[in-house]
Amino acid sequence: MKIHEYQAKELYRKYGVPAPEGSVAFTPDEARAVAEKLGGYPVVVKAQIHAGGRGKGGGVKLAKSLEEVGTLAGEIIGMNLVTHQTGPQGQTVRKVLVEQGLNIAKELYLSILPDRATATNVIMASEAGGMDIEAVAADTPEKIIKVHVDPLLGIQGYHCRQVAFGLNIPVAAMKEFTKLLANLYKLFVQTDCSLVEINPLVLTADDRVIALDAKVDIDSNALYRHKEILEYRDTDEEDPLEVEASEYNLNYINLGGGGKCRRRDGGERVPHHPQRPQRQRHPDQHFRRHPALRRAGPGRGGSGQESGSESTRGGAHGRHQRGSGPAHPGRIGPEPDHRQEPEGRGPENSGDRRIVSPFCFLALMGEREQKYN
Amino acid sequence: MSIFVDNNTRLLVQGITGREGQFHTRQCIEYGTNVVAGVTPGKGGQKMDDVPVFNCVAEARAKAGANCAMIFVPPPFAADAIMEAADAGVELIVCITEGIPVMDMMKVKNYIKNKPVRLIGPNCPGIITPGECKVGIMPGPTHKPGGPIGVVSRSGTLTYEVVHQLTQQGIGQTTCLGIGGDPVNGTNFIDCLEAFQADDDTTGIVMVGEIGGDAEEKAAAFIKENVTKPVVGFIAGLTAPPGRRMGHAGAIVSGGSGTAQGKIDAMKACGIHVCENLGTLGELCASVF
Ligand SMILES: Nc1ncnc2c1ncn2[C@@H]1O[C@H](COP(=O)(O)OP(=O)(O)O)[C@@H](O)[C@H]1O
Ligand SMILES: [Mg+2]
Repeated sequence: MKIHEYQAKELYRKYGVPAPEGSVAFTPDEARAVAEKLGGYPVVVKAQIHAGGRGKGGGVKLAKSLEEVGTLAGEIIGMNLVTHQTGPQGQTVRKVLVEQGLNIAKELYLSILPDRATATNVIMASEAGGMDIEAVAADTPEKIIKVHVDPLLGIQGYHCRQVAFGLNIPVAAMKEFTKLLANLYKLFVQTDCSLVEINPLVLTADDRVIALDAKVDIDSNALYRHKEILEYRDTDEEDPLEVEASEYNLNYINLGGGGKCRRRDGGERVPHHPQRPQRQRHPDQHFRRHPALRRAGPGRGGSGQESGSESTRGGAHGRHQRGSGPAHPGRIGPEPDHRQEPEGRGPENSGDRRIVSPFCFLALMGEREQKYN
Repeated sequence: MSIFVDNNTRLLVQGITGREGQFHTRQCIEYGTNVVAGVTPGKGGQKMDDVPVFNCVAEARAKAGANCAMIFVPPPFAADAIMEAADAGVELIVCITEGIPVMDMMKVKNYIKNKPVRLIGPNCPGIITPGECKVGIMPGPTHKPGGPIGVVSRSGTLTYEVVHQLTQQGIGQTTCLGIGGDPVNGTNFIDCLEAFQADDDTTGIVMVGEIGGDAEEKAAAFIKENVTKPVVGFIAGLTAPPGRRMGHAGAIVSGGSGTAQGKIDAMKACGIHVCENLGTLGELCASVF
């Protein structure tokens, strides 16, 4: 589950990870009220959406006066923010974080995430933090240091020092940095994060280290033991179809254009006889039985239109496809999108969908009582 | 022959009295699996059909002589159940449960690292040696006993589809297993490939991967160096849009790897017969094997 930067910063403060003073605001008036309390300029107004890259997309602005805070908040709230993480259709901004502007000496990168291959938690850090970290990772991966922490052992002093020296943290900021990292690790483990990321983590001119940005993703499988985190869920940021599906405990991912879902097998789901869906039932029938899925149905006239009107991530993609003609009767899922995948996968791939998808739908519908032999 | 389970498997079911546990235990027994015990804390002394139920794994193992555990415990308690079985000395643990927190699985994985135990799963359909032993939730009758093909998969339902097509082509299986779809799991592709390579009755292998991580790339490299038997591969998720459900730090860890196309290319480069249309996998296998 994703949460907003302002919520992540709340968590950071709770765990002793320094973040700038600030508060969320839903209107320009509220933004001004927050700025007045901060008592000093510059103040930064930051769009709150579940995606990064806001700085480059124009969603992070510096205000030098109270008046400017109001103006900028007015511009940002309601804007459709397009970043490399939102996809081309962008995301509507509904709130902003108004916080202290800091005097940045250096921007660092710091994150913790589980490393599936080694079953350890890996701390990643780089001196080349800031808005171009993706390029750093792609072009000069050696500039990113990695320190693995055994989850049974937990973080030790030497882990923190290894990262600190790797980042060339000045001696004066050393103690504060290692404390920050240890606290961040604690937050990561205790709230079952699948990612904590600070980009940038800034060094100020007076040798303080502060989390200017804050990203926290939570392992949804662990939410049952974090009721307080569940309060942070913001369904405005999620795909409406996915929200609706989740109300029925369905694991559904809208891939845009037509209906498709992630398989939901293994676990305690009961498998089904492979022949059944192909021979006895058209998979579309399963759509009809559930409103959420029905609307996501593969390109069927009016119902398709409905799912195209929302601001789903694959919206543009979907509209394009729906224009391309009637549904292919034997096909589940969207027509292959030749714009997105220029190499073009044509009919040779339809067999894949025809056979795989019915299982998805069956498993998804949770028809567990069906006998399979 | 086969890998990991056979006629000598003596199965213990953790969570045997729950709805899923009960249902699938009966299915396994019906298939011919020797189910010797069940464990449900607090229900020791009872019976599930003819299977004696114990309060803990150590007791079940001591009294019933189980050498394999199948876990149907709900996610909040599943990691604990795996560690209990490992601590009791059970040699093979098959965890079916889906939805275990990653943090829990990381601890489990490190806990069992130096123990003489093999974990299959979690979030997997289990393992079956057709005609001998089924430890899991797969549809038994779809399988054809007698070999000679081994099937290993990260997916559950896709495994059934693959097996179904093999059977339709008249190709039997030695052992079929799902290694599970979770980011942190026990047995990986390479463990299975190694075992299939060493199994005299297995003459070919089908490997079904999916997007995310780099297990398929590593397996492909392993195959190139160590596997002399023909391998047919399939990767699910060719049509998944890049970027969905991938945090940007995650993208840093794996660089460009994790996409279906990347995996397919890696597999092809290592001499694996990659099937790009699941509907024709059976035919491809018939021509390769
Ligand atoms: N409180 C702040 N004071 C000064 N500069 C800031 C502040 N917050 C953000 N910035 C600047 O804006 C850039 C982008 O902000 P950030 O929170 O990282 O958003 P995103 O990662 O979505 O682009 C930062 O790299 C930093 O240079
Ligand atoms: Mg940032």
